[in-house]
Amino acid sequence: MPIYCLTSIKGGVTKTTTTVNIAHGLAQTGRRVLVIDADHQCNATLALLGGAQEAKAGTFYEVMMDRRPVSEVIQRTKFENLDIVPGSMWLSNANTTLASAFGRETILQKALENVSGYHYILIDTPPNTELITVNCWVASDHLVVPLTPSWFAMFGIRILEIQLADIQKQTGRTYSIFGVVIALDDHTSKSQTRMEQIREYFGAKVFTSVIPKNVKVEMATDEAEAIYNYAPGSTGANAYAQLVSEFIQRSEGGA
Amino acid sequence: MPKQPPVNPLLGQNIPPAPGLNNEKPASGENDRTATEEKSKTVSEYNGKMVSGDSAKPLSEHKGKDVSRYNGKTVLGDNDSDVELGEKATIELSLYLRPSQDDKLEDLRRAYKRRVGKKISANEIMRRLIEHASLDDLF
Repeated sequence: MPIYCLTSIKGGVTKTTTTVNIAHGLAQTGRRVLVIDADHQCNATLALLGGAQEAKAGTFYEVMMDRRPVSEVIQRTKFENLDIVPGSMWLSNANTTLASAFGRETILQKALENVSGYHYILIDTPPNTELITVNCWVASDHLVVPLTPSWFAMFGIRILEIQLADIQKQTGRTYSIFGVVIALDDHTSKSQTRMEQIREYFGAKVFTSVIPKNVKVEMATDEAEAIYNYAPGSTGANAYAQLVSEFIQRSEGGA
Repeated sequence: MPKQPPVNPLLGQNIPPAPGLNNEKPASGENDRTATEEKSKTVSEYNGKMVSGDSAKPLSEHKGKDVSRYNGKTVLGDNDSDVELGEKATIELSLYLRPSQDDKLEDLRRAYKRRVGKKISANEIMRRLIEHASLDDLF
């Protein structure tokens, strides 16, 4: 049961959208998927449950702050094969509290120990390098980095790499990047240049499928629907379907 | 010629079926009570036919499903209390509905759940309608 952490220091690079659409794709191909919404903005929760509660109970908050096992806060979504650990807005202040906690980097890893019955676990992370994000890195087997073809996003990668190297020293394990997803391609020459730079830097780690800027993707997320059903003929749906196929091939190809 | 509605793009990706889970049951917490009726269906291609939903696989391939007793009969599936092991529904068929018809189907499912207290799948509704239908119903 591999655990994938979708992470990036930069906000707005489609971490949540990519998490949700990969999750939908995997689930629709018969794979059981658990999404963990570690971002206090709870956008993955909104996209999969259609709403978010203000309560702390039964959310990722309890996992991090009360050390509750993940298996106790899993909720089913209306989508077949797709479950979620809902995010909590109250986690915005959690990093300060966690700073003095014992074993603070491995809380999520331990909370995931008795979770089973899923083909994939996907973790959507907040756009920072604070303790909750570090917990997500430590708990995961693979990192997936969504990137937009922009200078700011590429600079964010440098910060991510420095932070990962730091965590690597502390935990004694490597945090390799499983794949890089290029998203929000606007088909300009500037995008093309940036994409070439990203491919040059990351090589084969970059997924061949490029997610275009497509309003249908945003609309599907807003409506808490899967893009593949909401707008099956859209460029966004097709691109994400190709990405899911590539993701499965890369993940299960050697299995 | 009428334009064909776009199909789920995942169907054209030649994605292999999901590997087995070694009968592991998904962990589920107290929040299962918030689960709503499943709406989005698994899509796959089976025997060359485009299919949707749990019927994408033959009954024998439903791994990890709970087998339980319902109304004295053995049934298969999580909350899918309509598939009887003694009377397998094995014919797979894809079906295009108008949005209003899909809405009505969903309304029927909800109304059934309210009245009977058990879920009913769209598959079972269609099976029952076919069983009760006569030629006169088509005119």
